[in-house]
Amino acid sequence: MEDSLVVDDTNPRTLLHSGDPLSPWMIVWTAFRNHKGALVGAGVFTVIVLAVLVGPFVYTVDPQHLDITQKNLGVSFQHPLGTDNLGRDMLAQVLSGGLIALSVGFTAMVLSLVVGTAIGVLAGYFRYFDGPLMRLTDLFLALPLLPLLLVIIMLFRDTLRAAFGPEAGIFMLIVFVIGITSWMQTARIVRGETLAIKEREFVRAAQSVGTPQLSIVIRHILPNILSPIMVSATLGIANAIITESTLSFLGLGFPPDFPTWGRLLYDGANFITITPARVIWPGLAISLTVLSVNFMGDALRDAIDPRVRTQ
Amino acid sequence: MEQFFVNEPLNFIEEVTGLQIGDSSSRLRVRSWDTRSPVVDLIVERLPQTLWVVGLSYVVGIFVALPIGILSAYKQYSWFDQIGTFVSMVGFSVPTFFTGLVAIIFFSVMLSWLPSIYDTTHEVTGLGSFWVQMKQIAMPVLVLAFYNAAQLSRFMRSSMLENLNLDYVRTARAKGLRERAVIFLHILRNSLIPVVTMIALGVPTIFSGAIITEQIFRVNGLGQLLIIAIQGADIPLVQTLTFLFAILIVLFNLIADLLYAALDPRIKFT
Repeated sequence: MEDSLVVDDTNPRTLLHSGDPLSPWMIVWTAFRNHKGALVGAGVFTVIVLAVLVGPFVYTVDPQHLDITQKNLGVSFQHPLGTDNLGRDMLAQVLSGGLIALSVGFTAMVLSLVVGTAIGVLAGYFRYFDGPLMRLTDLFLALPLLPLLLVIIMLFRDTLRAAFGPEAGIFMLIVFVIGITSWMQTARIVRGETLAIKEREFVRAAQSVGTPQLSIVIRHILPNILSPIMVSATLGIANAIITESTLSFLGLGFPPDFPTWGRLLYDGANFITITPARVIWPGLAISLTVLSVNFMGDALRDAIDPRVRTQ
Repeated sequence: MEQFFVNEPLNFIEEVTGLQIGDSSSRLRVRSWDTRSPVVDLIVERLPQTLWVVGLSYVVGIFVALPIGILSAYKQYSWFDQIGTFVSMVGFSVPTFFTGLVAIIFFSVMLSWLPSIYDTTHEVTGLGSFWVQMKQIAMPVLVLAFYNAAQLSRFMRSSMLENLNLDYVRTARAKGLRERAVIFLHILRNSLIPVVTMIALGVPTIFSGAIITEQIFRVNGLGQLLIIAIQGADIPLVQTLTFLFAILIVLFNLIADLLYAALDPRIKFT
């Protein structure tokens, strides 16, 4: 059984003739497993997530602890990644920054997924909404995101800070801003899939027995478009992490006493000649995370898309 | 409204060409709160740097990306394709502020070959100063070109792959055309259609400047102007810049649509 699966993937035609009753998820999983980049990506991503989640409990150094006598140190046993210009430990900062970066990425992805799926399903399922919603999507797609994000943050940062405090306020603002500017691809894909599924017999059958619209969408349509949504979820995380670190890098994201990877890079960039390590580690963390997530997303998309799989 | 649609464009044209159009002294000008000078002057002053650095990187990116995309699609799953897709994945995933900083660490700090700051006051007068200009423009252009090339070559590759197995390709081979003719005259022409529109859609980003790259290498272009304006809460300047970007985006979206119809005879406007 194990062998036949591997053979099936390299030549899918044998899969058709072999008559093995494989579930679609099984095929996707084999294709995913045969993609080396995806496996490495999944491994790296797991390591990063574990390090960020468990790391602070194992490596119990306060990232905000100042020690001017220990400033600008290189690699040492006491400070594995050195210290910054105020003597704060870099490893602890990278770990705590990662937690914020990843949670921003994850939350923003969920938000954009919810918005995108809702708009996509509405546009695909109800003809009435199709035109206006898709034109709205086109409108958002045409916007230059970075300048827009910068302007939104400039306009609303202070009000939100005053209302929810500096940390929660900026977290909400950034998640919200990333979420509402990255749902368009999801909406387009979901709409396309919904349009195709809507015409299938089982949906017609459900309609003919009088199932309410809402439960048709939830029970019949959503489960069938789950795989493209999952692909956009993976790619969405990568996008959100990049956007957050870009904003922080431009000094418009998180404040310096609450640093994310992007903010660490921004602060480290001024000390690039003294302590290049301050740029390397956060940058490497961002790059590895995004790269591994993108590899997983790519493999997942190839695994799900039958056109690519048969090539 | 009239200010942005009539007065400012006229100011802009006057500033660039030096012509006098109508009653220019009594026309209203949007002034920056920060510098007290007309916004148009600021923009005209910074436009050349942005166009040079970002435009050049776009061109370099296109010329690097297209051959890579074509070759890696044609030899799918070869070692060239494997390396090409991996490198373009890296270029696509690693943010430009990290590649830029690593380039500075490597070429400026460690090797001290290239300057890390772009000097706008530098004037090209002869071969020597041209070389200095090349040196200071090299890093921002290459960093940006890497990112652009990564995106475009992925797009080119997938567009080629879609066309490679179509029926007309088999027909072309069957009637005995040389392989080179099949690739360049048949497949390439068809797969370039979406790529060309993609390139046209990307042109506004040249103007809006690679904000991040300009920030890292201290290129005082439009992107940096926007950042400064935002940080200084200089509302008139932000308004003018965003309005300019909006116009460019609408314009190039239209151009992309028209190009699509011009290139692809299957698409007709009704």
